[in-house]
Amino acid sequence: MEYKFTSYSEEDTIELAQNIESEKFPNMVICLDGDLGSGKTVFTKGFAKSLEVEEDVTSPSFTIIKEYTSGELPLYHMDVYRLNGDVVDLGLEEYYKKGGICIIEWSESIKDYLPEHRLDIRIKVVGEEKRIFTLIPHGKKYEEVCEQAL
Amino acid sequence: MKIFYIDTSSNYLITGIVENNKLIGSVVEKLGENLSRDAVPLVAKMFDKAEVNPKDIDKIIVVDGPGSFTGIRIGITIAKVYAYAFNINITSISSLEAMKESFNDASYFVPIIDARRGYVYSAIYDKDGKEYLPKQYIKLSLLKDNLKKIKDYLIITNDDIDIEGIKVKYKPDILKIVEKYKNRKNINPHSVNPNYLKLTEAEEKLMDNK
Amino acid sequence: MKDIYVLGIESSCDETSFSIVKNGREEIATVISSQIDIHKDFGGVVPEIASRNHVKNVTMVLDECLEKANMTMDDIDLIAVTYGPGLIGSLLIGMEAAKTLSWLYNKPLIPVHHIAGHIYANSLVKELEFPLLAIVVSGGHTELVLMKDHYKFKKLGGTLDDAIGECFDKVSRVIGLEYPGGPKIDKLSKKGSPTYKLPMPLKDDSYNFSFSGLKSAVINLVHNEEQRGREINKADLAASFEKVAVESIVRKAKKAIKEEGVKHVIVAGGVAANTGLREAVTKMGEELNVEVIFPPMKYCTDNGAMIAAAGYYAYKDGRVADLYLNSKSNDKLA
Repeated sequence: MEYKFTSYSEEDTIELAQNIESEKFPNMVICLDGDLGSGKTVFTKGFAKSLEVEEDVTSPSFTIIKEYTSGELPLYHMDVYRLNGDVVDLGLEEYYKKGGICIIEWSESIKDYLPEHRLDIRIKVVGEEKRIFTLIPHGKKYEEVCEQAL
Repeated sequence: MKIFYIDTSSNYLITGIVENNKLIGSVVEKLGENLSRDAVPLVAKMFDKAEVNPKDIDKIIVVDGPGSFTGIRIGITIAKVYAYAFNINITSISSLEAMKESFNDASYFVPIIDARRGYVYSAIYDKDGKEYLPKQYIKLSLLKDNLKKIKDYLIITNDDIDIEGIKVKYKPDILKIVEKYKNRKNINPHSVNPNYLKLTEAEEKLMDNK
Repeated sequence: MKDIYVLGIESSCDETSFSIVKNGREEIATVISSQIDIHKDFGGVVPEIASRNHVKNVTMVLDECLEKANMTMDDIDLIAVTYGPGLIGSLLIGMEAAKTLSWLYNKPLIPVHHIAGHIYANSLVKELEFPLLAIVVSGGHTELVLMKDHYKFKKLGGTLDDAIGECFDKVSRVIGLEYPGGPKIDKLSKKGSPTYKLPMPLKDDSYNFSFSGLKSAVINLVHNEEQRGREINKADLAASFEKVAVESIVRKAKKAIKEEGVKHVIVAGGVAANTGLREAVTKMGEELNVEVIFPPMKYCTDNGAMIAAAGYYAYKDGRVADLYLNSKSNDKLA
């Protein structure tokens, strides 16, 4: 089952993120995919704000994984683009069970290393400001998240 | 002969110093997230308490996996840097080998570490410590099939595994482990590395389809 | 006064690097994993030059460093290590190695913040003079840091989203250039003129930066031109982008220099190689009559020498840790 959401501005994207955040639970995994500039980090910043993360959430494109522990739950913000699919020395799987929330940008490139249960969010750019979000929950918990958040 | 043992492959710091068949110092502590913070100072304290100069160690035995990705790397780094620094002989053993050494009363020993998604790290050892089933990343159902062929086996695991048989929790017997493996061949410290035993998910899918 | 030799250990992201620096100023030897001598005899073990092979390489990089320096660990006085920020799994390896060496050789352990390292890379060239403004620009960081004295840092501002290096890489992808994008854009921009209009990010009173809006502007521009059937002049686009990116840094640097009475400016980090930035900052220096220093490139990308240099001054500032020192993925410099 897929859910769709249209965002007309960064504010809309942030609102979506915050609605999803309000359904959060430990070990939640959200996979974000979409072109450069589609709003993946904007989404994550919105999510982090709701989570009450104190630090500025900045791009993890270079470091690959940035960890924030000041919020209600730990937040693990990842961008795996730079890995070119090679995840061997990262211990990704351990992040899925540390009791925090994982948000993974460009997750398509590491499909084989994603957990079975997760929320896939695909972002399509259809205009300068307009985005279409397609949410694909994998697992009952994530279906409930979508039901409640949208 | 003085031997330093270190295993950080699970949530625990398991470490000890064995001298002439006696365990003269040890730490077995569940550190979890604090492993990276506490491992080195606790090892240092152990040496102080046992009044052993780190330079006087003759051999290092380190567990190289399988288990926690982060945990393994901590123990490996400490061990290989130590071995390199003072030019000390070093060898590695598997966490599965360490686990099976803790017990005596059975014909077969089956250490199991959960690896999620229906898979485990396991091996089957006979009474003499020989591998009846080689250590590997294996589907739990396949392990169960293998167990059907043998009798009087003891399952050693700290995880919640859905498997029938007599189960015991892993309680490390450092002295016994060291005595068993102290003569294992030495390896170049530069090549002491993690042995995760894990297949990639792609290889796993191939196995699933067989 | 006795000379102090610091072993610096850096493993915050891609590289493992060990270096020995004397008195915070003189580099004795440095080895970086991506440049390690793979033909050296490590007893039959071959180092891995690909990124993030920290566990595999740690002892080999250390070994080669000591050999290059013709020193032993007994000659070392202090062990300085990057404790953060960075990729935790990478930081960890340098940290465990540092703590193990500190324990075994009974040498003080000095924690160094990665950005302090970038700033102190400069002391390998020239003694730091104050008050100084450090413009730290790299793949992972973009910050303006004020220093009035040794090891006293004040972060004036930084990026709210992408680091400048990340932005260069992303824009480069949009233009269709391969990784690493920064140098390619820099090169291409020389062949073009800044004819495309791009918005100046974050024109406010803060010392902060924002590059994701600029990135989006480039993306939208490319899109719009494609929609109109117009071909993008890549060289001009590169030039236009670089001009705005550089200017956004220089504007705020100028403000800092004027408001804080800065006399010396250091540019630190991998993006210090960017010729557009170098020209603009040099010009700014001349206009405002402040000294501008660009360290040699080998000190701008991640390396142990900058950590060893910073470590010396951190030690003088009384920053010694015990063996319970832990790595931190995020930590403020000041």
